[in-house]
Amino acid sequence: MPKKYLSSKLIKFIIVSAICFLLVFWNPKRIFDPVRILFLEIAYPFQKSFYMLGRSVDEIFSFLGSIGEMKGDNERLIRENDSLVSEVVSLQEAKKENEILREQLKLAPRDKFDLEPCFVIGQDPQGLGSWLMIGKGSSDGIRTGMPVIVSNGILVGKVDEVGPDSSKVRLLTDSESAVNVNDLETSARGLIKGTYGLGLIMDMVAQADALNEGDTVITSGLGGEVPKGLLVGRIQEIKASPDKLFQQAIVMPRIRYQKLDLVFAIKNQ
Amino acid sequence: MMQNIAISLILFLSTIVQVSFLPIFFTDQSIPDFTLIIIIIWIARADFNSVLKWAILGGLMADIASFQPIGLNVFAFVAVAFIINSLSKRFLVPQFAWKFFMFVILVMVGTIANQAITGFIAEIGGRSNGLFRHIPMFFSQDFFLKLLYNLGIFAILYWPLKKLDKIFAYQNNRVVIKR
Repeated sequence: MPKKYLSSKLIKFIIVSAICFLLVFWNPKRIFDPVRILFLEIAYPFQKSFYMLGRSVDEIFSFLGSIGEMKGDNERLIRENDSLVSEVVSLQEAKKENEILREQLKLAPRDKFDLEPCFVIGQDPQGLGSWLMIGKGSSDGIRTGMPVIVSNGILVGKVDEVGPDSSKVRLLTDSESAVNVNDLETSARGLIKGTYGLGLIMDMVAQADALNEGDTVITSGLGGEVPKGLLVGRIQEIKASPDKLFQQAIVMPRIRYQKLDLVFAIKNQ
Repeated sequence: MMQNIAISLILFLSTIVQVSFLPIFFTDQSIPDFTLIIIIIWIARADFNSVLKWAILGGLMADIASFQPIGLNVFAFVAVAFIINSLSKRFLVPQFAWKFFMFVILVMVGTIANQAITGFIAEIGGRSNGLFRHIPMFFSQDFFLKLLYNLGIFAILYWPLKKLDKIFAYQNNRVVIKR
């Protein structure tokens, strides 16, 4: 009897495994699209509620944790405020200069984008591919390939899959993500790629081009999907590519993707 | 019928918690495997055939909600269920201390097996750069934390799920075999 049971258990396991392998490697994404859309439709209100609840709980804990530091913070902020007031005056001048330079470089003014604000309602739980789920979909005009930024013009990623009320955003740190970029200071061109969800690498930079640690990396606008001039990060380390044909730079992203609440999809460029 | 609906609902909500609640509090590689722990608790207390369909459903929901190829988490959950069931049949005994120790081992084995299977299949399926890239992750602090968090989730969920199982058993008027 136990042998019979074991064999039935083994047979079931082997059959299920075989079907799973077939599905994974055949990867019939489109076949399961209706199921996925239905699931996401049903899950959307729950996901939104759970994400909001999680954020509130996180904020409460952060608040409780920060009570002790508030007095010191207050004194520091007063000092900072004094110095910032004087800085604002000099920044007014820089703003004017920035507008002139943007016009000369033909960078799109960030306030001219048609931005669709989207709440983040889910994140990659396994770290296999880096993505966010946003609470806007095709019914709000979201389309595949749209760039996603945070309010101050920092590129987060691109819309990868669109459902009726929610969409998946592939982050720059995803290993399958690739965006054309420039070194702002030296104009060196390259391709920013994700490294297994861990960080960013600026790849395919010609050996003749100059890269410096601390340089700012922005999108180049090549390829047309992502507008020119969106901030990506700062160069942390420079090295040669494994085949020594190109230079590579490890780029530190300007934001922590895990802490994002609200992002903006760029609907027109 | 009610039992099936309740279990499906538990799996659905656990998938939502896994995707939309836990990532807020934990870093990428240390997010606890909420749905997997539920499957481990069930499989350690019941036989493989009765939990198989729930492992498949849990995996399917995880695949859909986390945008993975359909079958990736299904296979991982079914394989973990198979391993845990085989181990629990041999090693789980009624003595509390030994049973507790064994459960800790089962959760750790389940977590490692799940991570290894999903990582390896994702790699041979071409969703990451190069084979065996996930192996160093097993020696990272984040993975150690994940094991601890999974044990914590296990400790939180074990008694409520056991209670629920007893309620279902009472409703179905069936005998619960204590192990």
